[in-house]
Amino acid sequence: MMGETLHDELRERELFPHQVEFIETVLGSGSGRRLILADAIGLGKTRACVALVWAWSRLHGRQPRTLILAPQALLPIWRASLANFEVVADIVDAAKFRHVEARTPAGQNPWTSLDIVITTVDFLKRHDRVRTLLEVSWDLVIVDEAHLYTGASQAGEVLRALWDADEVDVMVAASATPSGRLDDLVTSAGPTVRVLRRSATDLVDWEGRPILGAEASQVVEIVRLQLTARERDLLEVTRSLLQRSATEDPGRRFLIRAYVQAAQSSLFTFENLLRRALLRADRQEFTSVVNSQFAAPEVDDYQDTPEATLSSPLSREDLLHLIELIDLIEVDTKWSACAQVLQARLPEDGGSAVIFCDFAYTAQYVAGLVSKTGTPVELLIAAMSAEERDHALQSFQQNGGVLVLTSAAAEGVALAYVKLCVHYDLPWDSAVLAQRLGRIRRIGAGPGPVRHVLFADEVLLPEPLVKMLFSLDEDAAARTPTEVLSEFLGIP
Amino acid sequence: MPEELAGPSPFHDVGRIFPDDVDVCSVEPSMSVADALSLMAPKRYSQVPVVADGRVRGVFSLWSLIYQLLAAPGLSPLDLAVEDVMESIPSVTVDDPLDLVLEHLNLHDAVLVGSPHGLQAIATATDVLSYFYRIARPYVLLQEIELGLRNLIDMCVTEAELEQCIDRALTRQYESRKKKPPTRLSDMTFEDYRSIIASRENWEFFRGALGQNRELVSSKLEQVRRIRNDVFHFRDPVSVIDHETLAATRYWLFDKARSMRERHRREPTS
Repeated sequence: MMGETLHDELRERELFPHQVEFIETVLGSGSGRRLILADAIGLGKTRACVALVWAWSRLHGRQPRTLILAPQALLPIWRASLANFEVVADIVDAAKFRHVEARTPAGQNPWTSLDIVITTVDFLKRHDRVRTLLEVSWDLVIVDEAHLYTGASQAGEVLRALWDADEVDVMVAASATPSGRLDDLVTSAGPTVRVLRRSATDLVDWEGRPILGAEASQVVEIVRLQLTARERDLLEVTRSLLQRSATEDPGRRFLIRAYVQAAQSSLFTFENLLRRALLRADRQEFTSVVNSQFAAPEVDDYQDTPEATLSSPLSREDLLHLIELIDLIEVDTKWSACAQVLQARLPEDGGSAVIFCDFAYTAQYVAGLVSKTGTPVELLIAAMSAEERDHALQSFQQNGGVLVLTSAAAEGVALAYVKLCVHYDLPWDSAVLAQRLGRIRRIGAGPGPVRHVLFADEVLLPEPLVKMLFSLDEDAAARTPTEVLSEFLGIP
Repeated sequence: MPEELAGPSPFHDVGRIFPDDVDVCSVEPSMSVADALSLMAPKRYSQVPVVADGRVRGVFSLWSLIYQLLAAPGLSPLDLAVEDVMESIPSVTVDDPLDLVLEHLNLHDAVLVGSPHGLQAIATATDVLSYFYRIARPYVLLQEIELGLRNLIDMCVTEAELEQCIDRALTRQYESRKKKPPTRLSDMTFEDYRSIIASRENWEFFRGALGQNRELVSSKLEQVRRIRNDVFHFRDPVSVIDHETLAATRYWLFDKARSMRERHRREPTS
């Protein structure tokens, strides 16, 4: 059981009561326990799990043999969060594991050379690695975003194998959106399963105050863009070309969606996407390098296949035509509107604003434009190193100004103090949007509403679609992004 | 100091050749040569390791087969098992320096990459070439982009106009550092080219060649500047997305320069 001293130390480390309750539940539960941590987004699940590793060490006088499974983009965040609790962990990928194997004597399981491991489910599902992993015992297994690994998929099998293994003493499956997707774990015939599911409105801090603050309300403002004639030309032609090439083939559908999203995001991203497609059409040498990263949004939930990347729905002539149209555009109306929003709102909304983008290209473009206005700006994209991320976040917190970040880079980031939130583009996946909003609406939020600014135009980003993507349209909740696209472009 | 605290090793080791998972295709000693060749042909492999009980016994390669046939011309390859013709090739570990692989590849077609836990990969000259290509490509692209920009400025402005551009975009910058701005294009840096092109006052000279949207062009060059800094300061490995950005920028400049040349040919006085 956890003593009072440890309880106090956790409190000193600024954990909230519900986070300490989670740690007490795990550490006090005896061996062989399974727990689903299903707290709402923004309640600090990662921090609670990291503190659990630390608390386990304090309780047992040694580091727990720990396996942490998380999406690729979150691995550096986990390592940095553990480092904040003086816990050194190894991020293990194929290259790292080959070195570990080379240095581990024959007859000894390579996994015994690693104490605290952060890796992906994708890594474990290949080459039967989970079998050798489970030949040794683990004190703690933590699975972040566990809802991603359910069902009959290989990833689901990995999760299930760990969940059922005697070699795993304590396992935590964390997910803010388990909604039915972790049911097979809950109904497991194996060890007793506990579920911790708390909502922000029920929780209080150590002084008994609501943890989200008294006024966690939000205001949504949609800016209607008056596109220039050149911009309208571009978007109309894009729409008609994509409609013409509409198809039920999933590979082409995927690409059409990528084009629509890129065109909705920014001129810069759209131009980049078209040029890259042209590059592939002309220079096959790049296709092998870039297959896995074709989708420009840093977060996507749809399947990309090598075949899909090679068969663009637009011909070389179409691509060139669209690029020519972009070259004719003198003014980027969306950026101009965004600049006006920042100028008008930044001072009255606390001097700090975040601009969310789905595309790294858009984030880079917008950050560059903001910097020219003289406002301090920081950029956060998934491709940045952990050190660069930390530096960007610290500078933003200290200096205010604007933080431009992608949905992918936003995961795991706490921005509770921000009151102005500009969505330069919108993700087509409601889970990604929920993650975005969870960065702002979370524990530690100060008083006053958060203002969300969205953009709409009359061609490729009509207001009803914006409302649907921002979940303001209740009827849209049941639709998938593919259905949205089909209806929008008139694809059967 | 633990590796995690010291950061990744700055030295090129064998492990660097294989950043991702590797599927090693192997055959058993008793497999017929015909079956082994059928396995290798679709993937155009020229050798496969021969593995039994998790241990590498040798390598079956096209060369090992040729030597066997030359030594015994009457033999039909279809009558042989791979263990009859396999040869041994050197073995290294992922911790070995990359030079070692290069030395071995002077004498052999491939090198085994092994560990106490079994075979991890098989390194060929193509793998090493791909590795060096990945490392060298950003430098080559940056060189092309920089020279391409120089070329494009040269095509867009006369000598007198260049002086004007330098005055508008560079003079103040340089004077604040108590320096004289360069007067010749070949003496300028990438940042100088970028400043000249992206300057609002100079845009009239370049919009015809690069498009109407100065901010778009400026952002494009800004991205290259960022990547260039990372590359030349050996920061992080160049990501796939950055690599592609460089390639797309290189082809963008190439297209623009080609269009300009064509326009000059059609309208020599313009």
